[in-house]
Amino acid sequence: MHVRLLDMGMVSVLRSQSIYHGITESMTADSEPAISIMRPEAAYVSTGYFQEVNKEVDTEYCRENRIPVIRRHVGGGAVLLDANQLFFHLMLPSARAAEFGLPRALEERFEKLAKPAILAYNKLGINASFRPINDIHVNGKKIGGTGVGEIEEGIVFAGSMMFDFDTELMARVLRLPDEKMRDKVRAGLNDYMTTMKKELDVLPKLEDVAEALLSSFEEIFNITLVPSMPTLEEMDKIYEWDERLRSDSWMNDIQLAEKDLKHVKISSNVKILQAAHKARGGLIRGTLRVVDDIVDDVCISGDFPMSPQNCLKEFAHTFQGARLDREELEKRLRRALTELNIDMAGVDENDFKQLFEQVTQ
Amino acid sequence: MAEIKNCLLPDDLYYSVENNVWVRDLGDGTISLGMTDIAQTLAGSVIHCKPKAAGKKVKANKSIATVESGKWVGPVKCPFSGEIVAVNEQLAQDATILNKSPYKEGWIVKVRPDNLEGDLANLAKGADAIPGFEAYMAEKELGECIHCEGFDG
Repeated sequence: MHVRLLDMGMVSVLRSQSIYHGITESMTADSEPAISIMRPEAAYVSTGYFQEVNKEVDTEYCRENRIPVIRRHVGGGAVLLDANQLFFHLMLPSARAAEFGLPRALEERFEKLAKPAILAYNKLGINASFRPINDIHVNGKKIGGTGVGEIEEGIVFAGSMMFDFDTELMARVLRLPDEKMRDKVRAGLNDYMTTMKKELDVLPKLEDVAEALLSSFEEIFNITLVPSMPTLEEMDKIYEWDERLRSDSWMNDIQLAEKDLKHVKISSNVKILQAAHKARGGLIRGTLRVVDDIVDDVCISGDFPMSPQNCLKEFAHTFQGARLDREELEKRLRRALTELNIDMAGVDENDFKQLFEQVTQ
Repeated sequence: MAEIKNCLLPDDLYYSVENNVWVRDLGDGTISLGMTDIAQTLAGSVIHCKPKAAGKKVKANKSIATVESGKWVGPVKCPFSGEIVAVNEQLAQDATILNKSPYKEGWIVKVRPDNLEGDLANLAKGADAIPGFEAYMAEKELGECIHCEGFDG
């Protein structure tokens, strides 16, 4: 099967989103599939279709620092994108998914779609593998996520090859309740994300990575890539998406119910959670790093008085290694309150139980 | 109730196999519409659902709602052209209703079709949809429907 290859090179931030949205929307049942590759000329934040932009991204910081924010018609969370990533998009009509060898079950589809990027990393000497449901990992660290969107009759599978990643800026652009959580997110990104630069100790050449990726697409899907450019009809759709993606109505389309729990997903198995609860004696906050459903790191803070002083760290340490399970956390709580002989004015066992109820939802 | 490989198809509903949705004739010139048991199984746990707003005109076989499951964002399509007259506000609070109760609580929109009688005549009712869904499931290699805890049809 022939598949069009759209090698767009370096493009504007807006075009790095509008091109694949426009081409996917242009697809009809008998359209030829296409693969596009490109890099954006500047850093920006891309938010998932179902994210409320203002709640997820520190838009004031982004505005002050001239970092654009664009919501995409693909799922997942907010990500920082820049020229250190080579984006790829596979676009095809939904009607031709089976012909293209895509399984219908979502999880299997993600696995199949991630194969070219994984093979490309392998060709470059990086031990990448698939981690359900849609991550690519190298020895337990995420090197990239993937997402799928259906727009009208077309499907787009989006991903990137990660040369390098600015974890500091990623942690900074998210809207987070406090600096403690930002520290945890930053540490989580540093500990559980990797890049080609980290794995190879050197930045590989762009053309080598592109060649590895495109040849892997050809091998995995048994296709022949034919260099092409967007058609005039596709360009019209791209212009339409240029307008839509920067419109306030698109950016503010999603309004979700307020949630007490703040949740940042670092990868498929690593997440940072923060819950807050107003007790009689003051506000208590629990910030947890959870790896494979085990509480890996905990910070408990608040503005309530506690005796003995400085026992918060010891108290928080009690929960390290616990399963993210309400019963287990409550068991450890009872033991800690007894053994550490803690006295917290205006905060009791029930307040912590309510905190745990939130994080185990 | 008709059943294929643990997938339920209530007898009183009409089905668009191609769009994998059910349609209920509400008897007042409007219909309600939602995802079938087969559609919710294929989607897996639905995280979000955003129907188009009431008052919007829809074209046949075009999207009336967008759902997210995993990191897939895709449309739910309406087999008719018409006008959306109501949306299920509950889905904004908990989209897993689409998995738990696809035929009862999980209606997505109510639509006033442009040509109700003609449109319904083009759909399969109850057990008549079985052959179509059997072929559909075979094509999608779907072994059986999966029901989450608390599933109530």
